[in-house]
Amino acid sequence: METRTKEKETYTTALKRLQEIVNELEEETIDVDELTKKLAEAQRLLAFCKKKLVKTEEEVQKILETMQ
Amino acid sequence: MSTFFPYSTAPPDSPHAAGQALTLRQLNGLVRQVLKSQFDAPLWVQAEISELRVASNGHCYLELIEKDPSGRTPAAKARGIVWSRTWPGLRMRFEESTGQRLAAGIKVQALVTVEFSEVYGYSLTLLDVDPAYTLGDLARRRREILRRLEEEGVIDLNKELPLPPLLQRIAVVSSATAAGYGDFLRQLEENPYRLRFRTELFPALMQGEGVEESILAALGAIADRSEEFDAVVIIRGGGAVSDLAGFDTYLLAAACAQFPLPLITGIGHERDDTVIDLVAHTRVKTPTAAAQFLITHQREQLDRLAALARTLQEETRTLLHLHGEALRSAGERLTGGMPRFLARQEALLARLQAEATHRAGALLARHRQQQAALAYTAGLRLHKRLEAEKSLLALHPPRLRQAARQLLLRHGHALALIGQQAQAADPARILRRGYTLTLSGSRIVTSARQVTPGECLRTRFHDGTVRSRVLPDEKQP
Repeated sequence: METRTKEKETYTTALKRLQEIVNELEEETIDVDELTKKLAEAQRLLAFCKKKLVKTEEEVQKILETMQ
Repeated sequence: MSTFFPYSTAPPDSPHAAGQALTLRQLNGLVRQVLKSQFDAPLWVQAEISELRVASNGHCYLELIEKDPSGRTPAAKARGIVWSRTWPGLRMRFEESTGQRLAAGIKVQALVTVEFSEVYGYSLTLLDVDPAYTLGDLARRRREILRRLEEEGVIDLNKELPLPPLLQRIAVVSSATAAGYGDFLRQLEENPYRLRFRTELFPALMQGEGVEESILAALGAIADRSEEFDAVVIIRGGGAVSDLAGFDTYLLAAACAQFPLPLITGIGHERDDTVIDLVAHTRVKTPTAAAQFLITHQREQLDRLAALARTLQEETRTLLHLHGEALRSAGERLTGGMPRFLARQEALLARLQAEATHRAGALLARHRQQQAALAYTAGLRLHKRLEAEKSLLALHPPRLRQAARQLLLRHGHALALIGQQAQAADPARILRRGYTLTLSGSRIVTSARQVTPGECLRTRFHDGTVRSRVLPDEKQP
């Protein structure tokens, strides 16, 4: 239950964090020095959020196999 | 009233003598006759259906009830029947008009004939049912419930819950065997975006008696584990008709309105919203639509992520471009500015140099001027001095001439005297007297000791010079 709550929190916080990074970029308050770091973080957050939403290829394959 | 029961008080002249008991059949027959005579025409009656079943012979058997004002205990009850020849048409008309199945829990206004059978007793035969009454009653009941929820300030509570960004863990309240539940699951599973969902069924009766209690129990079980779910979906099989009266209860509506998770209803009713539809967070028509709602919500999350990713890309590009531009323009300013900077420095140097030269010149000129002034002053003084000397000298010549004359005069006398003396001392006079002058070289020899033997000597006479050599002494004294 706790981990689930945490998972839920993490998606929400990840989304929030992602939005923050985008805002920083839009407001041009981001440092060029930090840009790469922030982008890497954003990319990781995106991947994380997407994985939460969407089944990965592997999983889908497994499901399809069990259906046959 | 007494006319209804003429025989009980005053047995008439009849085959049945006074004091002679009737058979049950005779009595029931009499009751039937009386009822028949009193209720010879159909009449409208309002009642609630508490039971309804259609037998295999096609007849529909119901129990009609009227509750006392508390709503709990029956104040009146009657059996009813719809004959198989009437039932299909009656049912169809009713359901088409109300969208509501004739079922337990709804109130009807029915056209009935009063029947009495010696065997089965009192019953009502339903000839028709007025749909408008039922609709009005259901609407009134819903209005009543909503008004009460509104008064209690809870009517919009569930609607006001924010939908979480992730609608993934879904508690489903439905009947496991309902077609709608299967449709819902299939729709979720086969979503084209491969969105993931996790559902858990909380089984509940979705029609007939006990809907309220059953759904309340399911909601209670979900509420106990509310942390584990993102939303609750209440679904039941679709269809044009349903018995929704069970959903229109105050307790259920109140529980739904105040439920801690967003409720999505897909109760499958086309005409009217039940009260739980009205208080639920989101109301859709069917279980499939409920699944679609969840898919759409999640799909929007995907789109949102995609939009964020796009913005990230664009903004990064913009940012890099801006920084690049800034760098480039800084570079240009640097390269463009350097010659200007140098030129400025050169100009500065030139100016400094010119100034220095100017100052030096001025300084020199000043010095020269000072010198000239000094020289002038000095010259002036010297001149003055010379003038002074000259004028001083000018006084002198007359005295000088006189002094010189006197000096010359004096010297003239002295000279005359010296001439006389010099004449007297002239060597030629002496030489003529026989004296000679001996010279060794140009030196006058005045002593014998001044000569050495072999030395050449010259001896001057008054009329010439003889040369001689000194001989060694013969006899040295």
